Amino acid sequence: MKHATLILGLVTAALGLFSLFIGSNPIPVFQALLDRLHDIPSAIAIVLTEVRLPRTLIALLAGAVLGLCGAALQGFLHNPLASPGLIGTSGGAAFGAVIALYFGFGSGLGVPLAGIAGALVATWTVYRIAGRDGDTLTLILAGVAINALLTASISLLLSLAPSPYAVQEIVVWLLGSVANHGSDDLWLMLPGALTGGLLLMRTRRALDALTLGEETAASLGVDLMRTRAQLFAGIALAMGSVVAVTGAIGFVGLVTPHLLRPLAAHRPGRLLGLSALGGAALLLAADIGVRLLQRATGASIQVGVITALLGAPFFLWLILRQRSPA
Amino acid sequence: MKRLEALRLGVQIGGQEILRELDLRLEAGQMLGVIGPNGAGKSTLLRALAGIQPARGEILLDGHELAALSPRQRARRIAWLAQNGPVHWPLSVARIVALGRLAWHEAEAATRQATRETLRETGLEGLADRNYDQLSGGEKARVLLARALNGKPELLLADEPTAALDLAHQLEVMTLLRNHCQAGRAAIVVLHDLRLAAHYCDRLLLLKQGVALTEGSPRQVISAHWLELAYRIRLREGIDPLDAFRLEWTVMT
Repeated sequence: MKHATLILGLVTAALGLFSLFIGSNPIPVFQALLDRLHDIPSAIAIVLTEVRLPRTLIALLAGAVLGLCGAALQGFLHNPLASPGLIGTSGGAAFGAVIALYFGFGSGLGVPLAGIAGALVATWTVYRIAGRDGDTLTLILAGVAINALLTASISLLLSLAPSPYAVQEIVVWLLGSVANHGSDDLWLMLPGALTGGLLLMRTRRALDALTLGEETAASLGVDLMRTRAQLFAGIALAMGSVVAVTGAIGFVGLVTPHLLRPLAAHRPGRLLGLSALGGAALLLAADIGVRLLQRATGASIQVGVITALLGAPFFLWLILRQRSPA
Repeated sequence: MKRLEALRLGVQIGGQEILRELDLRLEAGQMLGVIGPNGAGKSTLLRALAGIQPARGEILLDGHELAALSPRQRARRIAWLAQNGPVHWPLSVARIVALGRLAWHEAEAATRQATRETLRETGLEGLADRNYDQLSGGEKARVLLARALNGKPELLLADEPTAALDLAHQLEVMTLLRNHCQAGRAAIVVLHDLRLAAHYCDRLLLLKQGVALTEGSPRQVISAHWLELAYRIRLREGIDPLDAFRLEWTVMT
């Protein structure tokens, strides 16, 4: 386990460093770094600190949050097919952001702030409908219903959009991307992502106990209502902050815990940190792929498209494997 | 724990009375068997004592209200073993048994040491690294019991720990429970097999439709009168009821 964490940490760091070298035009990264350290306002220093570094850090943070939230929710629901969007957070963030874009508040911090608000409201609604001590099935059904409502509302807004440009803007945002964000967006993500991440990490022992079912966990001294509240608040804050900035990037939160579960000896609590590292590595790798593709073909593909293209077949394989465990 | 007392215990679920005005007393070192027909409220009684099921009345541990303890304090003193409890992820046997010490919030090394000891005491050392998924039904039952015993609880509440086990595994599980009680701790065990109840338990509580019909030694409870009243079964003439449920088997070593 310690070796796995170390190796994954090194891989993530290497990918992060490598991604600084990838862009539409090659730049001398070390020179840019020296310029920045010596406060020389060169173009390459600005490209490094205002374009590439925020993009890398946003990919790193978003991937970590997606991986962490996926592992936490799968552990809590003891369901390997649960994705972090299940409790309405991603849908709520997307709806909030689309509202901002639709009504013309898309510039500056309008979209991310509306996204965070949407995520918090949608997650809170699912939490209230499912009840503080409601069972897992009620929770999943409430999440499915709220997600369906949010998706339909987004479709309605797209249908009623005043101009094709607005539609295009909304659709591109919905595809999910870590590109074209500055350090402002990073600073906006950071408090929610860190607070949410810390709340989720505090559920580690409870998640391990939940392996034996909710009642046995309660008999082991786990406060289930508190665990549930921490989990919802953690996912709402972390996922809400990320999705509000990057858009909905699918499948990272679903796939990463699966890939790494054996390395955590199947312990849900132990998987949290490992899955956060894995999610960061996966999204960084996907974003590097997007940049290399763009450099080679000129095509601008959103990273959410790549993760979905790779994640969906994996998801299908998972379902087939579950259907025939032999 | 020196003594557990439950006074006027009552449980209502969905408007239905599952347990009514039940009194119970248990001393350290004793094993109390809870018997009775299906739907008598046996599992509900255990869940109420474990603090999982809200209940009316008082539960006193050495004279102090159990409800006054925090969930973690209670978990350190009382362990609950569910009937056919789930294990959702394929953890190793050692990891599952280690979960029994969760309430102690101790260093991982201390948990490992205690778990090693429990695995040895329960004869599971050889299975420590095996995945739970790869075990037989009997082995799984022993692992879950070992998990409950690992916290060294003063009181163990076991809900049908021998259900669906072959005879040898039933005897092994009951022997582990008896060893637990002989170490000065106590257990309340829900049982359907009256042979096991008569052989291993110090006292029996007979429930029917949420009411305690009687409570006492196996000889007092396993009588033609009470069995007829509880189960609507009749013993053939001239047979001692305890003889009819005598267990003369022992596990080969």
